[in-house]
Amino acid sequence: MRYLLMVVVVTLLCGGGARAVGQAKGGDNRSERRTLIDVRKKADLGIDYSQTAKVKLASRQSSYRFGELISLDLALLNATDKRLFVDKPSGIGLSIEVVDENGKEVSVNPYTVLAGSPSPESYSLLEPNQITIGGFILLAGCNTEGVGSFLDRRVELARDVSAGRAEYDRGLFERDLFVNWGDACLRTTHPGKYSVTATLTNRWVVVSPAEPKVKTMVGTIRSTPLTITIAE
Amino acid sequence: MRTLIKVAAVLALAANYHSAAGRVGTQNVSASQSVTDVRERPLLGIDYSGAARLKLASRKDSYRFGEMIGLDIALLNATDTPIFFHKLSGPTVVVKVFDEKGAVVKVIPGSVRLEGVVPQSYVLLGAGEVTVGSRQLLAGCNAAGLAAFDEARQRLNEDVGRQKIGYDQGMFERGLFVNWGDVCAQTTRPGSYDIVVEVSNRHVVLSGRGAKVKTAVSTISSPPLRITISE
Repeated sequence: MRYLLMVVVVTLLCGGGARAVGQAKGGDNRSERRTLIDVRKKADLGIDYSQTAKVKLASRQSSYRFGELISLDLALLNATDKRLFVDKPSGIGLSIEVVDENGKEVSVNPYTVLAGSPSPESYSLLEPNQITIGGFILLAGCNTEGVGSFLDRRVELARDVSAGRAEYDRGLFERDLFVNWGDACLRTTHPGKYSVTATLTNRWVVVSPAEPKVKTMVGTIRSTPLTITIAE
Repeated sequence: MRTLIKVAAVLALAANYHSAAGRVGTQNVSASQSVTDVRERPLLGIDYSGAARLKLASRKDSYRFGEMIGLDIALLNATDTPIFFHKLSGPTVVVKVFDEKGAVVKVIPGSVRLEGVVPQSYVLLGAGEVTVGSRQLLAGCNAAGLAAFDEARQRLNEDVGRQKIGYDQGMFERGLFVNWGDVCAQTTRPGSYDIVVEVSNRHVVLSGRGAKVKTAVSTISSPPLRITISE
């Protein structure tokens, strides 16, 4: 199976659009005048996830078939009695790991790699016991009919845009390339049980003139594994 | 992961890239602008039919009952001037389903969506630019687990009303943050279905003194998308 990885450089400032799944809820996300700084430069504004948060991973079904989109829903709870900033549980701070029944890692292949600097817009201010919701959409299997040609056609559009043969937006529209295939595909052809874990990582803190002492959750936190069965 | 990766070959895409359910085209509308009913400022409205093309697509044409049908929507500014368009979100977008005989299949929303129309509800698209959105349609309303999920949500609402638990905490503890899509199609019959989305808007953006940028109003329908649902 040919797998095409299209690397797209995106600053998260561009990423304000809502995801197919994962409209974050909870918290005040006013970001005016807020800035971000590496926690190593402002350690007093960081507080480790382990002391502050609980994370849960869930899906609407426990069994999917190859070619289906597995929606992985993630909720993060502010388990303290203080207001805290938190990076939304989606985008580049979220990674998904999958292992098979033998504990062997199964590759999760993203269609696009998001990279860049985070922006204050991706942080929410959570009250005690408030949650923020995010998610990830994983295609069961990378050999699904259509996904290969879709990625080929995306690359072809990129080439045509670069060569001045097409306009990006019109190309997306005319060639039906606005279709959502999820965030990544799971590279397996074996039916069976898979254990999925979500990991959130953040090393940035919010500096907010209006909330100068409010800390930001930093470090790494993992969900408990979610077992999914994939059938033919 | 946060390292900036520079790949020259795809830079042309980068400036416009958004996730499938986000904005592709140009500027979001500023909070300093305002909106009003088109009946109050008819000269600022332009009918969708003269301004846009709407497309509906899905990643595949055959689904099974219980599967989520991803409906991807794209709206193109088909004129040669910038126009404000309502974003493809909220109750602005209506999904309609018809069976092979053309009979209406009931589409049941997972929740009731209300919208306070604000300037940020709109996007300014340049000529030839696109805004995209999506809806998730569950194939059938009898999927295993859906009824139990709805009941659990109802119980949570009651418990919140009785102050037994906070809403967010209840959502978290009871796993009720799970996504069941936006709507379900109430059918149990395998077969072919035509899906249409309608986008409606009756407000215009007031974009400052002397500004004459129009807003697309009225209703536009996508061409039907044929989907097969099997057991």
